[in-house]
Amino acid sequence: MSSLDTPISDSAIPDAGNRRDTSTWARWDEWMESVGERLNPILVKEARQALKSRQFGMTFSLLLIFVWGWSLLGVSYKMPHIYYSAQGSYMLAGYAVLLGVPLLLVVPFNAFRSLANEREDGTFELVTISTLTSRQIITGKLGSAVLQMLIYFSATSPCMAFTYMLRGVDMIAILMLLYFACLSCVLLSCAALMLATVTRSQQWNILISVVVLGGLFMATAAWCAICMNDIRRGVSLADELRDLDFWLWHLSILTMAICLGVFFITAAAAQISFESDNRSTKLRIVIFVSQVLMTGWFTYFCFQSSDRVMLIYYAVTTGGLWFVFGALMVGERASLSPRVKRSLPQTFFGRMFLTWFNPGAGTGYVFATSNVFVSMFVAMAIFRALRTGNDYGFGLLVLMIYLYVVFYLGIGRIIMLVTNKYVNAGLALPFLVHALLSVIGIVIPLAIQNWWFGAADARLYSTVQFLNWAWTIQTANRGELEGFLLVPVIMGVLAFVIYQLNLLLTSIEVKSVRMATPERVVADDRELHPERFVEPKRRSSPWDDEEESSG
Amino acid sequence: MIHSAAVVTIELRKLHRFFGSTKAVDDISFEVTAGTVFGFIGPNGAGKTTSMRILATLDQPTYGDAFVDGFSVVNDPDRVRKRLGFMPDYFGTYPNVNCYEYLDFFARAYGLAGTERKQALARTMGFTKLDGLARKPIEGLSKGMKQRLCLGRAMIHDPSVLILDEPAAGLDPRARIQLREMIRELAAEGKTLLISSHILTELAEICDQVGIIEQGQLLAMGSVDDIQKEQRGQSEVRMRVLRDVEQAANYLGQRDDVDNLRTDGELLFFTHKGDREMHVQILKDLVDQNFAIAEFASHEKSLEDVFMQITAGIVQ
Repeated sequence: MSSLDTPISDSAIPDAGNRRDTSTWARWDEWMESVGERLNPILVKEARQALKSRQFGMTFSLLLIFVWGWSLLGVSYKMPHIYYSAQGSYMLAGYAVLLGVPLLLVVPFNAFRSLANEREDGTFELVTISTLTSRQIITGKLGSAVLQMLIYFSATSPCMAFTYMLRGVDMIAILMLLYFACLSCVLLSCAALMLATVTRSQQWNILISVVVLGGLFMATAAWCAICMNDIRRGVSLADELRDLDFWLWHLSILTMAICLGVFFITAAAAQISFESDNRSTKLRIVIFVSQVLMTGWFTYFCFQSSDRVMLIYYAVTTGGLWFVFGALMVGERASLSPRVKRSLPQTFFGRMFLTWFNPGAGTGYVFATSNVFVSMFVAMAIFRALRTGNDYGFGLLVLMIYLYVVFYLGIGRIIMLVTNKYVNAGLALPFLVHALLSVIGIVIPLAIQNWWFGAADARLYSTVQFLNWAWTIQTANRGELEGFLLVPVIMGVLAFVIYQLNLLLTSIEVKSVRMATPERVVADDRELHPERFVEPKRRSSPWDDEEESSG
Repeated sequence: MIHSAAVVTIELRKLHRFFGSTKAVDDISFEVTAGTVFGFIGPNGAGKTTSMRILATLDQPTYGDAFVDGFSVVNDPDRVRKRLGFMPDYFGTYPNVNCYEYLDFFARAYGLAGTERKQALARTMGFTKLDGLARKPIEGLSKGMKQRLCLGRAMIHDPSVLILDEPAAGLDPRARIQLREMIRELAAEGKTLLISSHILTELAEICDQVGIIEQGQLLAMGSVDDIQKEQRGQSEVRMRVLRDVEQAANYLGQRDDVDNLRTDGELLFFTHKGDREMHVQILKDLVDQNFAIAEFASHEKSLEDVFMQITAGIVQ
């Protein structure tokens, strides 16, 4: 008998050794336990910790005290008008402000600190060497944030229900308020979790803590301002419910919020995953799906409103987003680990279309620039279909957005290619490099023009500003770039050269072929999941696998 | 998971780990078979912890690879993690958590559910003698108790390989003896253990094999006896001769295998290159010559002596 089989007294394990109880409570307890088995271990642990933590108890008690205090104070202040005038919205605005503090400030910051503390205290390493996946770790932390949010909701829900009994607020308005509070809390928690994974250095973490706290303060302040301005004036959404656009508008916000949340979670999980893991493909899929959804919504709203401004928003937003996403992708290392190479596409069509989803700076660059190109093409197509203005001017605008993304991402990628030889870039460095490039792109042309033409003429756009993306796009948007046609020509040549150079540098990534899975791994899979194990079939079409390289 | 003796469960293959210009691990290769207790010895900064962290999938090698149960730590860390338990040289405990909750969390994290998890918890708490401390908050545990809790955490999923980094550091003699007994029990179950420790006398007692590492390089490896033999060189003999000390010294001085002869009253010291059989022969020759030998003792090199002889004490 191994030592691990040594029997121990039941008293060591709480609840073990109890006689079987068949009461309703016992069955409820059993059911709860079986549910608990399916829950994320991190969520279970964090819930246990939170229930014992002084900070959570304090926040919950304070929230209770404040909402009850506001109930008494608000009602007594509005007496006796509260009986016959619309004062419900006034009370609801107060509750929304009080709820906003724990939901938009405390919960997301707790999520951030929870992950950052684990990394600082060394417990994170112990969790990562368990069989939990990086996604489970992040979603467990998010689950804990959601649980806290629900508990805070429970503290304010009786008071919010009370406002329904007053005049000036309908149930839809209360539900919409809770929905937006929930959405904001979850989204901010996702963003906070992603930021917690940016660095392992304690010094940087302190700096990021300050940034996160500042951002959350601003979000809370914005929430409070919206609540005090909009809700206080009175909200009744009963009529809006019959309007299809109301639902579509909110559905579009929800889908984009989900995309953003999934992106944050996927990016955070990628950051803490093992170095040889494929950190990129899932992220690229999320970004691609977000792009498709965003294009769909913009297309609908553009046709629905026939508004040129909407299209400009679309072009600028997609250009900006792909520049940010592209900046993160071109920071990746060019070499693929053997682990990643085991799952590379190797069919003819697979390699043609899916290679760009593989990790690597070069594939990331092509992926980002191709998506910008498609976005700009879609924008142009919608513009032509709508026939709302000058085709040429709008064409120049989308062309310039595309050229700037190609040029600046390409330059950034070449810088990161050199940097990656000396340091492990992570998420922050490529982002900072591209941010710096964008600033330099504005500052240097401005300085040259100022020096060349003098301060008086420096305020007028000139060809010298060809690298100044902000001013050029603004000029194109005003339809004035037609007077500076040399700018698109110069940028076109520069972008073409940089693109070709990057394509050359990408060739090594594209050449990667799938590696055979080691025998030991195949044998382990066969042993663990005999039902799922499939012997490879012979190749009969371009979609079937080619032979694997053993190297 | 018990392996036959011939199965290699840990393998380091040309392992390198550089931090800038510092070579923390510089071309280390060795194999450890199932059921072996392997002691990793080296001065501070020698590369022990780095090697162990690579094996535990917490770090990646610059070059080379390491394998646990045939799975690469670089390419199949998920499979390695199922088979490996790692106890680092820090506790890594959570606030507001008791011993039961702590172990329960890691049992869940290793995918144990339902009865299987409860059994694993009961066994682990029994083995680490934490039965009575299930409800005790971790903050209130002594260092020895925390160390046992961490061992419990490392073995909660019943791994075939355990890596213990300085498990006895800072423990009192009783806790150290308890830990040693636990390690012996685990080894008796057929688990492979890789242990680093500064307390060399302990390692000599519990390890089947040791590897001495310095400046990232493996300087010696084998069983404690083999390394001692290899490094023995000259052993020193101390002898008490009741009469005719000078004659005894003259007699020994004529032998080729005896060096560094000196006398101190009745005591006579010398070194020689032979093994224990040679000691017997020398003593027999002296007795045959009718010298009155009252004491004859040879000083064998301990693991500590061997360690001091092999390593230069250079820290990177």
